[in-house]
Amino acid sequence: MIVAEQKPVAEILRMIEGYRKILVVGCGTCVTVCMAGGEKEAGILASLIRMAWAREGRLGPLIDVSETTVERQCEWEFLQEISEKVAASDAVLSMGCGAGVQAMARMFEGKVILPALNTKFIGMPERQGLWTELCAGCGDCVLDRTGGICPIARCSKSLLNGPCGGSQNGKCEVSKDIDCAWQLIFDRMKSLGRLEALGAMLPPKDWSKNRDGGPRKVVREDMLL
Amino acid sequence: MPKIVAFACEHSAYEAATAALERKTGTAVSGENPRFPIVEVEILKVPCTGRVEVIDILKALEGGAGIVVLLGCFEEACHYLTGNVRAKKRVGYVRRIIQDIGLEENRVQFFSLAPDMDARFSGIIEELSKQVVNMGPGPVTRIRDQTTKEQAQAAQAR
Ligand code: SF4
Ligand code: SF4
Repeated sequence: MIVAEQKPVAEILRMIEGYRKILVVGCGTCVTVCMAGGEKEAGILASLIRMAWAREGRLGPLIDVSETTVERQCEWEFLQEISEKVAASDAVLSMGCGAGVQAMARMFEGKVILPALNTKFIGMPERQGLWTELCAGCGDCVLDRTGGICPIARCSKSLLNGPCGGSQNGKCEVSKDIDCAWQLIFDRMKSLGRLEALGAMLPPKDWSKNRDGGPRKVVREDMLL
Repeated sequence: MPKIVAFACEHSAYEAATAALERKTGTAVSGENPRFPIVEVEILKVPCTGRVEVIDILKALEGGAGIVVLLGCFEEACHYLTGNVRAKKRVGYVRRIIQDIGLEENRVQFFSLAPDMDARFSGIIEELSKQVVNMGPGPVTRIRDQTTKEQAQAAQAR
């Protein structure tokens, strides 16, 4: 899932300065799970904005802050459902990830769409209230060779050929709070009885599948209409 | 009139509130506040303070409360094990985010009570009444009062 967190309220308030009718749009998928931009969070943000504006004496008949949530902001079908509400607003605060914000900006031409979240990474909930990064979307997955532990996302230096000299007692030299990904990889490969696989000579990783060549696309010919 | 909204756990604080009312030591559940007649108190019975969401607290502030207080059980005494711990954390969170919009953190508070602590209940309400008088009404009431005043002035001018 995509993990995000809300921008500081002060930054959001600066962004919406000058607009009178704000629609806060939550997203019911990834950012609901990471408690950054779901229905609850959209309600909370809209309420905070209303109170912030009330303090400044800005609430009145022509001023309005409301909220709504769609199943997924990154799909046209779901965005269609809120067309009327978007049309009635001066600016939309999207609580989706960067994909959601951009999908809205494309769908609602001529409408100001603003991001209320900072999109952080692809990851998972580790436990209640804690999410960790697991994948950097490199486009050429190596997990088969690393015991299912990603060296790109989880090694602070994205090393591909084993730990750096700073790895100590299983911890990364960047911080004692970070497990050394290569220690994890070594331990897991050992427990799988696959240690010798780590000794294999490999060609350089194909980074052309990452950022090289501009924005990436995935095409499924059999699905195209 | 400044207003306190209290979410009271039915297993502890609400019983204390009821006892306080019966013994006339403090605030009436109905909204009268005999010790502090200039402050309105609304007591909302909840099955557990853990059921009170962030948005419920914000809506109470938006609805005109000057102070929102969650009154729950003592730690280890929650009927649902950790509802009160969650509630405390949520209160801490709301105190942080309302400061982001320039509100005083003490507009949202948490206290622990046992069912027989009617005197403590009255004491808390009395203390909060003083605080809310000092802080003034909540942000939304302020603007509403102002708008009403302006509308009245405009009407008079006509
Ligand atoms: S916009 Fe799409 S990818 Fe982004 S959080 Fe919502 S469902 Fe997930
Ligand atoms: S190797 Fe690449 S695709 Fe695989 S988990 Fe790591 S970043 Fe993601």
